[in-house]
Amino acid sequence: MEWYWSLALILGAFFTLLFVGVPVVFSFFAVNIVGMFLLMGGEAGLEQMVNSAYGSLTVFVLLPITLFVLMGEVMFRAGVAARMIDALDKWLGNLPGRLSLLAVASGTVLASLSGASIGTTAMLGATLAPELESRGYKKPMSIGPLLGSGGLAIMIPPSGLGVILAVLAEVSVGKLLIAIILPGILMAVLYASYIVVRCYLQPDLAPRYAVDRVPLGLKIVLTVKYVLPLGLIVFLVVGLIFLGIATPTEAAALGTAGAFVLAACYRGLNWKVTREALESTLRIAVMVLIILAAAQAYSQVLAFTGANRYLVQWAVGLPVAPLVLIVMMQVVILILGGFISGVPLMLITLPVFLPVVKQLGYDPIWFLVLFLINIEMAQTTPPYGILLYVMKGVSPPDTTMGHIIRAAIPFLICDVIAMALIMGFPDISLALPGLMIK
Amino acid sequence: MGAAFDRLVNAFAWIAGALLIFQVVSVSADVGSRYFFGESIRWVIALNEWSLLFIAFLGAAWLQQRGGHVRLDILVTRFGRRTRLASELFGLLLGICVCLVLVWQGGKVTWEKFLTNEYDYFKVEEVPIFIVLAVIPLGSAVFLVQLVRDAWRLIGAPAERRSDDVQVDL
Repeated sequence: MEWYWSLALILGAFFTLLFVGVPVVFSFFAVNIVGMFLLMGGEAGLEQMVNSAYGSLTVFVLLPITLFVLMGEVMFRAGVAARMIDALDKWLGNLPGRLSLLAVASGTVLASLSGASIGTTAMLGATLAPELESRGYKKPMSIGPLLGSGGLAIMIPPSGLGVILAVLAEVSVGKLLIAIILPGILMAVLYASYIVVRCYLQPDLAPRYAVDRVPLGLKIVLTVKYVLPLGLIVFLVVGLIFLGIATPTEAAALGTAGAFVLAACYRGLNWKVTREALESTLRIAVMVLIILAAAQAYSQVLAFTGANRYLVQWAVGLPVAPLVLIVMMQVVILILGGFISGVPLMLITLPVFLPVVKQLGYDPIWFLVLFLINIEMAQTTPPYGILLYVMKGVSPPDTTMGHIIRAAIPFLICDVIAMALIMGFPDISLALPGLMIK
Repeated sequence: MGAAFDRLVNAFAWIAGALLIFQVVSVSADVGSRYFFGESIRWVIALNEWSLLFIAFLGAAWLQQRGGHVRLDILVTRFGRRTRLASELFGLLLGICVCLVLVWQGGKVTWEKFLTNEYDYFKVEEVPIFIVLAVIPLGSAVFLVQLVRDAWRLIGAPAERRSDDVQVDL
C-alpha cells in the first residue's frame, strides 16, 4: 500500500472514531490495536503495544505534568491567588479599562504559578467576572481579557502542555520552558496594549468609576505580603531551571512543595483544600496520562508505514518557500485545534510535522513555541475551545456563547500578531534558551 | 457487590492521589540530599517514573465514573437522543474491546516477565518488572468492569443517564 493511503487510513480511522463521539483514549488505542496487529506481526504487535504503554509513561521528564497542575490547584484553592489579585488591584489607580488590565496582569502572574489554563481561567473568571459586570464593563472588555490572559498559563512556565510537547518532540524540557517566557510576556503586552487603545477609542466599553485612594504604605505592605512571596515559587520553577541548578522535574517538585509551604504560611492549607487539590489534579493527570500511554505505539504505527519518511521527502520537494510550509502547518494545527484538544492534537500532528521542520533546517524549539501559541489559541477557538466553555460556566447568566466568541476574537488576533513576530524575529523565542547555564 | 467495587475504585484513586504527594516529597528530598549531602537517593527516579504508569491505570476507572475521559461530542450533540445514546454505547463497547486487549496482552506480558524474572536495567535491578507491569492488566480490568457497568446501565435505563460528558483538558 502506498504511504499516503496508509497515512490517510490511520488518520481517517482516528478522526472517524473521534467525530462519532468515542473517547479520545479509546480512539487512539483502537487505531493502535488494529495498526499494530496488522503491521507488526499479529499478537506480537499487541504485546509490543503493552510495552509501548510502559515506555510512553515511565519517563522522568513527564513528571512536571502532574506537579505543575498540583501546584496551581494548591495556590488557587488555598486563596493565595485571590489575595494576589486583590493586591495588584490596588496599584492600577484610574487607568482606562483598569479591571481588564487587572485581568491581564493577574493572568500573567497566575500563569507563572500554574501549569494549566482551565484552572487559571476559572480562577480569574470567578474572581473578576462579577466585579467587571457590576462596574458596567461590556462583554468585549470583561470576557475577552479573562479568556486571553487565562490561556497564558500554557505560555508562561510552568506549562504542563509545554512539558508534554517537549517530551513528544524529544527536545530539552528546560529549554522549551525557558523559550516560552518572552513570547508569553509579548502576548500579555499585546493584550494590555489592545485594551488601552480600545478603551481610549471606545470609553463606554469600560466605564470609569471612582476608585478608593489607597495609601502608598498599604500598597507596599500588601505587595510584600501577597505578591513578592510568589516570586519564591517563580524562582523555584524558572530560576532553578535557568541557572542549571535543577532539572525541570526537580524544579516542578520544589515549586509544588513551595506552594504547599506558602499556602500553609497564609493559613490556607487544610485537609479540605489538600483533598480538593489532589482530586482535581488527579482528574487532569489521569485523563492526560492514559492518552499519553498510547503515544509511543501510535508513533510506531506511523513510522512502520513509512508515512513520516515519505511525507518529509514530499514536503521538502514542494515548490514553495520553507516558511510558507511552516505557516501551512500552523494553519492546519489551528483548524484542527478548533475541534481537538491539546494533547491529542500534539500526538496526531507532531510525528508528522516535526521531521519536516527538522529537514527544513529550522530550530525545533522555535517551531514548538509557535505550536504552543497555536494550542493556546485553539483553546479559545470555536467550536471546541475548552476555555470558551469554562468561561461560560463562570460568566453571568445572560452571557451567550456568541458573546464569548466575539470577545475572544481580538485576543486571537493578538496571538496571531505574536506568532508573526516570532516567525519574523526567532530570537524572541531562542534568545533566552541560548543564555541558559548548562 | 456494586458498593464493594466502588470502594475498590476509590481505593485505587486514593493510591494514585498518594503517589502525587510522593512525587513532590521524594523528588524534593532527592534535590536536598544531592545539594546538602552530595548524594542522590537511589530509586527516586525509577519509583517516580513508575508512579506515572500507576496513576494512569489506577485512576482510569475512577475517572470513567466521573465522566472525565475527554470525548468530542460537537457532532453527536447535533443529532437526536437515540443517536447520542448509540454514540455513547459505541464508545463504551469500543472501550470494552480495548480494555479486553489490554487485560489479555498486559496479563500475558506480565506473566512472561514473572517467569523470566526480568527487571528494567535502566531503572532498579532489585524490583522485578512484572510487579510494575501488573498495574496495566489490573487497572484495565477494573476499567473494563466499570465500562461494562456503564454500558449495562445505558442499555437498561437509557433515560436515566446523561449524555453530556464533562470535558476536561490540561
